[in-house]
Order: sequence, then structure tokens, then C-alpha cells
Amino acid sequence: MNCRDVQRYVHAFIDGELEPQQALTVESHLESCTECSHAVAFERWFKGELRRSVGPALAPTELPDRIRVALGRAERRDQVRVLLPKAGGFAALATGVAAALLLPGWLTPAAGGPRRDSPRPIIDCVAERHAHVLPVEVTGPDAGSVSQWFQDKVDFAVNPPAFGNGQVQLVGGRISPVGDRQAAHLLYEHRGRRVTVVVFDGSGMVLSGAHAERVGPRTVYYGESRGYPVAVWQQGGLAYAASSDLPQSDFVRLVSSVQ
Amino acid sequence: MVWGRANRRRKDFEKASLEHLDSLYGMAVRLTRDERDAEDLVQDTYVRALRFQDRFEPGTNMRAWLLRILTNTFINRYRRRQKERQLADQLEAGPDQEALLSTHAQAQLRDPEKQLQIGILREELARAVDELPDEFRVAVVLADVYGFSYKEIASVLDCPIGTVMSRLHRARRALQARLMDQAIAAGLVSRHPSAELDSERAADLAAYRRRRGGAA
Repeated sequence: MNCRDVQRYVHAFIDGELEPQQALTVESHLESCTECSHAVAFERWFKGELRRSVGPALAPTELPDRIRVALGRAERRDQVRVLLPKAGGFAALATGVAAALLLPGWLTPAAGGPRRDSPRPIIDCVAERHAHVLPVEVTGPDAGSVSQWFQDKVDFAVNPPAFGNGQVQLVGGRISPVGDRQAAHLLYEHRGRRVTVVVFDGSGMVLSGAHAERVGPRTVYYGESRGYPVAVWQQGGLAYAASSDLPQSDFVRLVSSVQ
Repeated sequence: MVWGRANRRRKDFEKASLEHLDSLYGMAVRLTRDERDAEDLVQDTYVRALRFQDRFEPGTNMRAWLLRILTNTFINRYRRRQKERQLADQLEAGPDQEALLSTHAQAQLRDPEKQLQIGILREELARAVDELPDEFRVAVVLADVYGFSYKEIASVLDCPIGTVMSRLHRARRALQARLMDQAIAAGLVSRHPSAELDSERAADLAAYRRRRGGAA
């Protein structure tokens, strides 16, 4: 190794980026070459000088609090992210549909885990709600009276969806929020199995990433959380999210039969 | 409830990540060159990091991970201005100046008796760092202030390691030249007897290109 080589590698050398063998060669050259050894010492000195002049700064004292607030806000926003208008939503929606077309067999976990923009929070939220058996505040099975009960409680019309086969009974309903939106929580029963449907204002909602299926005029997004199948769809500006104890195939059939 | 679990997760994240606040802020100041922008950048970084926290591998260097997010956020969001781009092109395309400063000049700068005075030039040096084009500034600051490996810098800048090396090399050379100029201006270092080398260094890019163009 000559002086030129050392000069070429001097930065990698002082940064500890040379292979041990290369570093040894440089060192042995430095022992016999005063000029290069000065050059290396200079580079080391300069590196230190840089660090001393550009060292880490002290963050303003109020910054940690500001960040805590921002994180709290971000978290709440993320929980209902799927509800908020989002730039590029249409593209994401198209991707979701395409993915469903490409991946037959819904509920197959997408490669690489849940996508950031998949409607996870809603799916989790609904499955969670379904898992806990909550008392109803208004009882069915008359959809009309249930609908009426909600009238002065939420600012949208709650029309409990009817499932096609007529064997699903509306047990009742209660109020419970989804994220920061008010929502109507409806409970059904089908052959002793519970079906939960949560209805809320779906304006601006973007659904994407989940497995989607066309059912008549609607696109239904399927997911799974806590071992419960979940379906999400939109109708008349409202969002419907359903979960159930039913086996997946029965649940899909049930959701497909929504009128 | 989902909310409660997420809340705890956030608190844990907050605690672990805020330990690196000074590092992040320091880097942000270097990148944005503005304290208010730096605060915004740091805040954005934390929010993004929270969102991507499942991509962080526990047990690995969290500071490096956060700094990477910060730098990426900066590069993506605060697009380079035209002027900087030109500067970057110049540094990329310029001659690869080796042995920029003469041994004599180097020795003068490192003279233990002059360190107090040279220290005064640190502010100038910091300013010179601020004036480097983004890619060069990022490379130098990550390497020299935050001790990143070339590989880590390459992953932050999304470029080959060779590019990192050449950027570091050029950035340091440019900074050294600047320091030397300042030291000379401050009368701390004499040009003699290395005037030849110094004037060669001073030869500007245009002249270099003319020479090269003429030879081609």
C-alpha cells in the first residue's frame, strides 16, 4: 500500500469501515510514513472538531409535551383513520378490490401482515364489541320501533338491516360510539348464535386493503379479529359493520343476504 | 378495550422514544437550519414512528431507527430547493480532491496551542455544514456526530455505500477547505509555505471543467 492508497482510504480508515486486514495494511504504512500518519491524525482531529461544532442540541423544554399531545392525537386519529377522508382513497379502494380479485378465499392473511390502511381499527372495534355481550336498551324484534328509539339519539336514520332468510331475529339495540362518532349497536340472533351490527355515519370513509367482495350493488369488506369474522359495507352514506359467532361460511351467506 | 391497549402501547413508545429527543432535535436543526422547522420535523417524526412502531425490531438501536425516520421525513417532505440541487450537482461532479490541505496547513490547524482560537471557528464550521447540500450534510452529520456506519447511512439515503463514501469524502474536504479559509482570514494560519497547494484547491469548478473539457 502506497501513500495514494492510504489517502483514498483515509476516511474509511478513520471511520472504522475498513476490513481488519485492510486496516492493518494502512496501519503498517502509517508506521513508516510520517506524512500519511499526519494526514490520518488530521482527519481524526477534524472529525472530532466536526462533532464538537455540530453536536446534538438540547431540545426546547416544552417540546416533549408538545410531542406527547401530538402522539395522543395521532393515535386517536389512527383508530378511526378508516373513517376519515384520505387523499388517494380511490386508488387504495381500487387496490383493495383488485387484491380481493387476485386472492380468492377471503380472510387469507395478506402477506406481510395487515396493511396500514386496511380497516383494522373498525374490524377490531366491532369484533371486540361483539365479544362482549352488552345489554340492549331497546328490544326487538320490531325493526320499526327500534328505528324509532334511535331517532332522538343519533343524528342519522337507523334502519336495522333485514337479513334475507328471515331466520335472523333482531334482539334489540343500544348506543355506543365508534371512535369519535356515535353509532347504533344492533344485536341479532340466528339459531342461538349472536350477530352484531354497528351502524354509524360513514361519510368520508375509505375502506381498502381488506378482502372485498361484490354483493349486488355493494362492496363488502371482510376481515377477522379475535377469531370473529367481520364484514364492513356502506349503504346510503352509512357504514355497517357486522360480526358474529356464526361459522365464516354462514356469516358470508348471511351478509350477502342483507336487503 | 382496543383503545386502552393502544393507549398503553403509545405510553411505552413515548417513554422509550423521548429519551432520544435531543439527538433527534439536534439532527432536525442541522437538516432544517431553523429551530421552528426543526420542532415540526421532530414532531412529525414521532408521529410517523408511532405509526410504524411495529416495524421497529426490539433490541435494535432505537435512536438510529428514529433518526432514519427523521431523515427520510425531511428528504421526502422538505424537497430540495433548486439552488441546493445545483450545489449538490457541483459537489458530485467536481474533481475528487485528494490531500486537499498541505501537511503544513494541517499541522497548523491541529496545533495544540491554537486550539482555543480554532475553537472559535467551530461556529463557522457548523455554518459550513449547514450550507452543504442535503445529501452531503446528512452523510457527514450521521457519520461524524451520530456515529452511523456507512451501511446505515446508505440505507437512510437509499444509495450505494460507494456513494456514501464519496459524499463523505467530498463533504469533509469541502469543510476542511472552508475551515482553512476561515483560519487564514482570522490570521490563525499562514498560507506559507503551502501557497501552491492552497491556490490549487481554490481553482474553481469551472476551471476544472474547462481543463477537463479541453483535454477531451
